[in-house]
Parts: sequence; C-alpha cells; structure tokens
Amino acid sequence: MTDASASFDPAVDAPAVPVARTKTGTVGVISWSALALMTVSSVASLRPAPTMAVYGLACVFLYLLPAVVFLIPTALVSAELASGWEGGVYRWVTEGISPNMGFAAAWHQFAMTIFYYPTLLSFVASTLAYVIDPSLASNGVFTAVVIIVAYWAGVLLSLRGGIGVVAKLASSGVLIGTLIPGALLVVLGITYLLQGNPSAAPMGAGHFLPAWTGIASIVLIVSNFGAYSGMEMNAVHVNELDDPPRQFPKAMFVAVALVLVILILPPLAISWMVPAEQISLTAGVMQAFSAVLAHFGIQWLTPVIGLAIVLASLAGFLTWLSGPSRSLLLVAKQGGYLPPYFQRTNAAGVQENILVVQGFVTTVLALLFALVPAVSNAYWIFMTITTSVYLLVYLWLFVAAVRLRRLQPDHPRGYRAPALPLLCGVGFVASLAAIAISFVPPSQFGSGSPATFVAIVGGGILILGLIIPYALIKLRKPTWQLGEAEAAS
Amino acid sequence: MSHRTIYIIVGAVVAVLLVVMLATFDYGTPNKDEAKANDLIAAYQDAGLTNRLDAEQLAKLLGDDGGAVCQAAADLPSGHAVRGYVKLRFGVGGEFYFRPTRLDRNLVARSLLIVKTYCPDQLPDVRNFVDGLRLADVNGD
Repeated sequence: MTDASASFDPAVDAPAVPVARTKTGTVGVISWSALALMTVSSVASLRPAPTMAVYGLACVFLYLLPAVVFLIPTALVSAELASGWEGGVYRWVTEGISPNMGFAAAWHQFAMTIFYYPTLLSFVASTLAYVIDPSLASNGVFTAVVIIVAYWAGVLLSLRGGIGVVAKLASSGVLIGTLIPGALLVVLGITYLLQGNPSAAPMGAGHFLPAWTGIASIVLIVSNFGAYSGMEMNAVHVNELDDPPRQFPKAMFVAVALVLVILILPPLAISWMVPAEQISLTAGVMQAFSAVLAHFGIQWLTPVIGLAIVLASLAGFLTWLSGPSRSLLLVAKQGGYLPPYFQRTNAAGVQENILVVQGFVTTVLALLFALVPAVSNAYWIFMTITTSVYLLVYLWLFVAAVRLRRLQPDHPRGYRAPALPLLCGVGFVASLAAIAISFVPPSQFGSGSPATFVAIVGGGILILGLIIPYALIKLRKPTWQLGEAEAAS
Repeated sequence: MSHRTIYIIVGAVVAVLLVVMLATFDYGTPNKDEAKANDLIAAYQDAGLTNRLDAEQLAKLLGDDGGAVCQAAADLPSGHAVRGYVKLRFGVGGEFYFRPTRLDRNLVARSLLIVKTYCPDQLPDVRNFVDGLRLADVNGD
C-alpha cells in the first residue's frame, strides 16, 4: 500500500502551498458558517437522541469522554491540516505518508458512505411513515421507494446545483431540522422539570458515570469513541472558502460547539420525560417527540417536527454525498487511481460518474435492505464493519499530521494545533480502541459464536479496508493518469 | 437549470410534503388509563424493578394502548425491514457513526412488562425477537 513507485506526477499534483494563496475560480462558493453547519449535519442530528437517552445522565459522560479523546484531536488536527493544504484527508495522507495511502484513505471514507445511505434514508422512510400512516413502516416496498427516490433526487441536486446549492440546502436543513427541534426539546424538558415533575431517569451525581458491569461497560464506552466521525470530511471543500487558513479553523470550532450541544442536550431532555423502557424497543426519535409533545398537549406539532427531522436527514445525506465522492475524484485524478470514466466531471465540476455508479450500488443495497429479510436482519454487521474501516482514516490522519510537522515544518499553516503529537497520540489510540472493540459481539449477534463474529468482522475489514484498495492500486494503468485539461473535460 | 429554479422546486416539494403530513397525521389524543398504569407499576414491583413515575404520568405516556411500545410490538412480526431497522438502532454513536452494543437485560424486562400489560397478544412475537438478542447487565440496576 505504501508503494513508493506510485508517487505523484508534479504536473497534475495540486501545489503544496498554503491554501490562502491558492485562488481558483471557485473560491468563495461556501461561507464559513455554511461549512460549519455542513460539518454539524455530517456528524450530529437528533436521530441518535432516543437511543442515547436510555443511558440517562450517563449519556453526558458517554459523549464527553469521546469529545476529549477523539473529537478535540480530530477537530484541531484537521483545522491545522486544512489551513495548510487543500483537498482534505486524501491530500494530507498523501503528503504525510504516501500517495497510495492517500488513495486508501479516500477509499476508506467513501466505502462507508455506500452502506450508510440505506440506513439514513430508511430513517427518512420510517419518519414519513410515522406521520402519514404508521402501517407503512413495515412495508418494505415503501421503504425501498423512499430510499431510491431520495437518493437519486440528491444526486440530481448535486449534479445540477454543485457544492454551492448543496451547502445552502444542507445548512438550512440542519438549522430547521436539528437546531430548532433540538432547542424545542430542551426547552420542553426544562419546563417539564420546572413544573415539578420527577425526572424519568435518576439525575444524581452518582449516575454521571455508566455503571461498571465488566465487558458490557467497556463495549458501551469505547464503541462511542468514534461518535464524532466525519468532523474532517468537509475539509475536501476547503478551497471553496474565501480565506481557508482563517475560516476553516473558525468553522471547525463552531461545529465542535454545536455538535456537542446537539448530541448531549436532547437525549438528556428525553431521559427526563420518557422512561428508557418506552424507547428502548422503538429507538425512534418521532416516538420520543410524540410522547413529549403529548405531555404538553401540543401533538399537532408532530407532523411539522417530522418534516423538519426528514429535512435534517436529507441535509446530512447531501453533505455526505458531496464529500467522500469528491475526495475519491480528486485522488483518482491526481494519481490516476481510477479509470478515466470515473474521473469525469460535469459542467459544475461535480463527479457525475462516481455518483451515478455509487447510485446503482446504493439502489441494489436499498432493495436488498428493504425487501430481503436476511439482508435487513444482518445489515447492522455491515455498519460494524464499515465504521471500523472509516476509523482507519483517523489512524492515517494522525500519523500524517505528525509526519507533516516533521517533514514540512516550515510549510505555512493558518493554524497550528497545540501539542500536536499528544493530540495525535490520544486520537490514534482512541481510534484503534474503537476498531478493536468492534470485534466484541453485540446484542444483535444473539447466541452466535464469538469466533464466528470475529471472523465476519475481521474478514469484512480485510476485504473492504485492505484487499479492494490494494487491488485498485495494483490494477491501475499509466493511461488512467490524465492531464489537467483532459481530466477537466 | 438555475440555482433559483432548484430552490423553487425544493421549496415546492417541501410544501407538498408538509401539506400531506399535516393532512394525514392522526391527531387523536390517546385515552389515559390509570388502572393499567397501576397494573404496570405493580408488575415492576413484583419483578423487583425500579419505577420513578406515578400512575398519572405513566398513563399520559402509555395511554390505554401502550403507545409507541405496543405500536413497535405490532410492527415487529409483520415487517423484516422494521426488525432490521430496530436492530440498527441498538447501539451508541452520532449521526454518521453508529455502533451496535449490548442491550441492558433489565431494560428489556421492563419493556416486556409494558407489552404484557398493554398488548399481551404481541408478547410472544416480542419475546421471540428479544430471545434472539444477546443481553447483558449494562445499567447495573
């Protein structure tokens, strides 16, 4: 994977200059606040709130610890790297480790998104069903149709509008569908307590830490280390900002604050008002909202909240659709890692063929997920595998950051992260621990053998994380390396 | 297609969705049933499980039909997509990253008592689903 012969062609490699000096025709397409909200929509939403609410006050700890060991390292290191180099993770890894590892990092980001879309869009389907007709929730055809229609509508939007439209829609979506309903939930929660109602979950200081029950506690705590995955993803759009060295770190710090607020406060508010046993089997944000709104006699708000939550999910979807596929395009163009067909962009500069091919794969996955019982029952295993593959990106990211400080100490950076080696060390260990804990069988695996589970997850990580990118690197041909003009056409 | 046209189309689709959702949502208020809530509290006590809410609050949340719990219980046997989706949500994480973990045994026991009290017909299906899960002592209560 670190084949030195696969070095960049300087003729097509993007210049290694501080991004502030790299003015292109697209600079200023995204405002820093839109980029901050895009980052928020990539990482945080109300979707996990009911699931985390079952842990009561301990959900605060479950989010704060990963914030220290993963979120802060990722955010600060990404802020430094994005303020010095264009292109996002693939570029940082390319510069810091090797071009082949840069391609592998782009692939690891991209691979997870393919499996992620059906889960995200099936949530959209279940939210629509909850409001329109709850019996639709168990209708596989309805779920498949919603996933496929939403996916291709997103592709069409990205192709026609480009990143400027995506940024505006995504930032509006997170505002309407996450920030406003989240704030409402918290206000209602505080009101509920002020009315003199007892909290449904104990809130004493003794409940701040999760109960220690052995391996289950370790699985619970360490599994959440990667909860903030995706903070670095939008760095691929850094050259669309007016002043990346100043604006990207600013966007990152605002995003960190919002992500923490969104992920911590709504589950806490739900745990005050709805007992854990009433949401553990449904794990649905609409069910939680419905219970809360019913307490205050304002159920009429449910359809509005439902639509807002759908919009937030679609905002997150658009952000993911435009990020990792863009990374894959850029690294494919610069290193000739993919056939010319995949390097083609449309007039708006969008990676149309990558999105279309990804769309066909997503369509097949959506049909299997919605219509084939064996696939839908086992889909959580794909998510376990792909989250681990995504976490590999952070291993490469932290190694690259340390090496770049050593290899290119004088390279101008708009922001320098404090104690970078320490940040990278902590982030690396946290990412590695979260990968390692994915080998412990969760509830969904039932009474299956742990060895079988290890083989399935290990095999999946090996195929998706190592064998496929290695094969792509080995199969590439010199003719895939296009000149700049040819690639742009 | 201009950006303006795209925003107009997106706005129109959102407006249509809003109208459909407002028109089709069932605004009926669930009936409160404190007798059933008291039965549930008694079932918790018999099983040695803690309960922090009184009958009035439980009746508000569960109505007379078990609310969201019994709705989920009714969906489980008919829809494999629902079972798959529910399995995807047993875990921890954020929006993008979500990892399966282990469900708390007492928490599941409490949910089963709700099903037993409010929609006993669904109990075999829910128990069948739960029996396929590896449970653990997570919350320590």
